[in-house]
Amino acid sequence: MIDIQNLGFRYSRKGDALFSNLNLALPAGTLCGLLGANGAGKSTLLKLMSGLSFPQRGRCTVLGHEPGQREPEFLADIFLLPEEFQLPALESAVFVERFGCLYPRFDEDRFTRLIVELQVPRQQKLNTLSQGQKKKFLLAFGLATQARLMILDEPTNGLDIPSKSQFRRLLIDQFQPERSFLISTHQVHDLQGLIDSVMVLAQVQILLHETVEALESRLQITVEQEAPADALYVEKSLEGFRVIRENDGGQESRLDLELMFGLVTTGPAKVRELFRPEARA
Amino acid sequence: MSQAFSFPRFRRALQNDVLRVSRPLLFGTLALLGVTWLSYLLNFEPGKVTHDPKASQLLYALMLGCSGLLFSSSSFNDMHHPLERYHYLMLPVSNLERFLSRYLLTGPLLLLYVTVAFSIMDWTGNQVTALIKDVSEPLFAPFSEESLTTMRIFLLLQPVMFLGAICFRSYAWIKTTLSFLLVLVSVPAVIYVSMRIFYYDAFSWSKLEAVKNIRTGLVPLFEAHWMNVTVVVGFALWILYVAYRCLRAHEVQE
Repeated sequence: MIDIQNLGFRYSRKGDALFSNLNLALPAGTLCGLLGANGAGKSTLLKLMSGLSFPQRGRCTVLGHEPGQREPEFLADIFLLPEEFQLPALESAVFVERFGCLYPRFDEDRFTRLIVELQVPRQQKLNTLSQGQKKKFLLAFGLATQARLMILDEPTNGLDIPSKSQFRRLLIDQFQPERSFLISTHQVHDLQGLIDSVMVLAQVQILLHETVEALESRLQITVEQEAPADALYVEKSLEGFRVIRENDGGQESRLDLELMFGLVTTGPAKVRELFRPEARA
Repeated sequence: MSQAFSFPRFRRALQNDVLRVSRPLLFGTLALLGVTWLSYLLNFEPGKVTHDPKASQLLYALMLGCSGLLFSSSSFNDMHHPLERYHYLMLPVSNLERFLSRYLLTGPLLLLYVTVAFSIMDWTGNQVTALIKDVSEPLFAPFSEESLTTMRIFLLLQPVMFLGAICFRSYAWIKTTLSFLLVLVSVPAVIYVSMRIFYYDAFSWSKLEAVKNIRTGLVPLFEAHWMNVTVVVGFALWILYVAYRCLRAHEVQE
């Protein structure tokens, strides 16, 4: 679905490279979380995938298209929910009437169901909605387009607690094997239990791209009173020390995304060693 | 295989663009209607000879020139707006369809709209002045030579404003006008200096104009009317092509 090879990108000619030789492959039917610190380049990577920015080097193929060409067929098959955006001064029904028909597979019934489920006011002008409601509206619209790739940039920013759980439920409901979701966030708790693979973007490259299943089988997360010497990563908490160890016993533990992110960003070499193909075998 | 132009998609894009501007256009028209009535009421006096140029012709030229060109220069505001940009760019419409839709809307269709709207404004303005002051002028003639010249000038300048709307992120109207004026001054200046260099024996130091008759090989070409028309139309088409390439450069990776 997404194939990126040796991608290089920098914002200005003299500035540092945001990405150099970035490689990434994302198959269809994935719910992938893209994690990274502020300024790591998550939004830029999403823009490159959507054809809003153009790479200076390397190859980027999404759904068999080159995003930079911005072909209408490609744009109809991808939906981007940006972090910040503005909607026109239209009611939701008018918006759907005007723009829905540009998407060949737009499902109006599904849109209506989703809008009701997400409790977005239908009579109110879209530009007067709160940021959270705007996000919910655009999410419903995006899901109704039945685009094969949904790219969500910080989708839970501005959502209240009930809306966050609604968002997670909705994504799980709408997930189909031929459809992929790429969710970029720094609010890792919102993705807990939702995604099936994780990508960590740091130091101008993808430091980790693994399935949640692989991470859970290779890493063991425990809470201990003392910081153990053989730990891969330790973080102090109220209960004691949250520890990540290499899972030798084969007993799976539930993945803690925040802890795992700490491990990947502080010790990328350890993670690379742990997940190299020979180590897995 | 990608389809760069699909008629149903183009029609939808044009329809959306028309609907997007319909409200400001309606309010603008109502404001201009007020301006027309007011200017007719203030200027039409019983027994006065008809002005030359007539008030209607002048007002029509001003409306088309100012509001039309201002409207053209704001045609890509949503593309330049940091938050509206996503909606504009992510819609599944091709670059060519977007370009044609916005050009048609701000060029030929706007010309048609302003002409029809102004004819109505002029007629109603005359009715109002006839009612209040018992005076009226001959009605606006959209197919008169003056009106057709105004339309031609608009169709020639509109692509320049359209290009500015694509290239300049903000204050497109001012920036385009200034750039165009700069070109308008600098091109003749360069030509004049070149003439003085190449035909130095035809000029004297004390005078700006040539003291001898200069006859270049190009001059006879422009004696034919069709040649001048071709050059002007060619210029407008070239500007439109440059505008299209600029829009592509903004939106698409070559």
